[in-house]
Amino acid sequence: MKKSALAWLGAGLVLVGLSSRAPSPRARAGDPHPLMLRPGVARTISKSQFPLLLDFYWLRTLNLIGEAESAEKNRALYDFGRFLTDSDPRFWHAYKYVGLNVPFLKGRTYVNGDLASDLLRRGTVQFPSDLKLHLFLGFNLFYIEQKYVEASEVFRHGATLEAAPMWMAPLATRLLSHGGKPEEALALAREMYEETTDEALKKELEQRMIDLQVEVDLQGVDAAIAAYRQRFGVPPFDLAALQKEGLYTGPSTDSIGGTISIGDGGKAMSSSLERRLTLYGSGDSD
Amino acid sequence: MSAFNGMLALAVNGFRESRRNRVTVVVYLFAAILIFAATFALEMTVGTFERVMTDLGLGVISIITVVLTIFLGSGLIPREIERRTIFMIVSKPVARSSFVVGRLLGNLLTSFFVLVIMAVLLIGQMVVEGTPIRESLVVALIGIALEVLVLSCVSFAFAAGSSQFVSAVCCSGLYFLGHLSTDLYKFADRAKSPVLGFLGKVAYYVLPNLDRLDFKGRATYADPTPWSELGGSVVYAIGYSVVMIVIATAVFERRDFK
Repeated sequence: MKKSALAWLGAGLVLVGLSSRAPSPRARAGDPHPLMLRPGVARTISKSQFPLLLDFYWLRTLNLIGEAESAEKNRALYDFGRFLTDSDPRFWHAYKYVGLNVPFLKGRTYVNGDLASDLLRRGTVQFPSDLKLHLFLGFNLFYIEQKYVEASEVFRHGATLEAAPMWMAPLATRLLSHGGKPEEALALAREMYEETTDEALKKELEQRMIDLQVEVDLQGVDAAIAAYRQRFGVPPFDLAALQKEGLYTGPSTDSIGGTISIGDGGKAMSSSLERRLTLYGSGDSD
Repeated sequence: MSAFNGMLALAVNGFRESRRNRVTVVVYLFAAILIFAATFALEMTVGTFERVMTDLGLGVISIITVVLTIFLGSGLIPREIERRTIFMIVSKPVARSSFVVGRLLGNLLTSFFVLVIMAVLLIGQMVVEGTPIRESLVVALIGIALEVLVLSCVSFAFAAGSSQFVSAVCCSGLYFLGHLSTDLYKFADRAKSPVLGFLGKVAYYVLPNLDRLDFKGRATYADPTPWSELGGSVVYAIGYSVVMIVIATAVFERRDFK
């Protein structure tokens, strides 16, 4: 090699050496999304061995479920779930296991609940008569996402499926009521009461309709309490205070004769109901 | 009758030679290890035991038989020419076409033998694990056998006129293209240029349609395959193979070994 060529080589190496640097911390941190193939691309490049490729990703997913101990890792689980179910919409286990494991308890609240619901929702569309997927989606919606009205819809459909547990239909009405729609819940309970031939369920729904009727009355009082609180900054001492301000003009008893009063938490209550049809007093509703 | 006997002798010899070939032994070992390794993987399949077992077993069998078929089919004739052993055969009263068909049959015998061994291993393992043996699994195995048949004939057609390397590369390429032929037709259908559309459709009919011989995806969900569809695939595979054998013998008869 000529001396000039060696000199150029040396100069080049020096320049490369001086300008080289490690990847930025951001680049090293990596994308929270795992590197995944698009389902169409994966299907095309693996064509004859596509089932094998899907199983490889399925085993990786199960592995990830085992080691998911952060919100980011659980988020990645969703990407795996989407890949599997988009590639093979009939992959029931992927909807179920990934959907159940995506939510992550961060401190005192769950994260990734919306992602889990998304996957389970896709599962219920694909398997409209699958009871388990409806149960998981409904649970996810009301417990993790606090979307009571949608959860109620899911349980309502689930209650019509074969082998549905008896508590599913009453729970649908309870969630609807808690979602701030007691009239709709009452209508739903009536509808289900007329549709069902199961005597035990009919009995359960009869009681639920009574509870819901009272709940309709109590939510009317709750609205008056909220207006009072807005006006005076504090909850009213009793029902008479609401009536005195003209905020509540209804009766002091509910539809089945129970006495309406105002509880310690500033919520209406009735002597005819042991417990209101609410789940968690401070929960948001949709 | 003597031509047939000669062909048979070549086939049996080819089979014996392949069995002596270390690659075949390695393949048996590889298949056994992979299939039994599946047992450990299945520990973590969470309710998808049958699915993973079926996919893994069929996938491994398919990969091994395809690689073996291409390797053996592409190398047999070029190796005979390279080692000059071809002269010992062509100097005898054996037609070149009989030589090609005899060698091809020997090759097929080897591939089918390996396929059957692996299928028995897979089914045996499934029986041990208590997984039901479904019709779709058998259909998928028949599909793999048909694929082996077509690929063997294609590799012979290439090997009759070229080197082992060229034949192996072309045959591997055709394997991938063969599985994409349905997509090729779709692209041709969507092509804006009529010429491209026409060429795409010609390519679809010329290339081996391996997609229609692939029933592994159906075995995943134990989906049934109508016998008429399977029969059509058998006829197609035999027809395509016959065409490839004719091409292989025509090319080999014109080949100069000097």
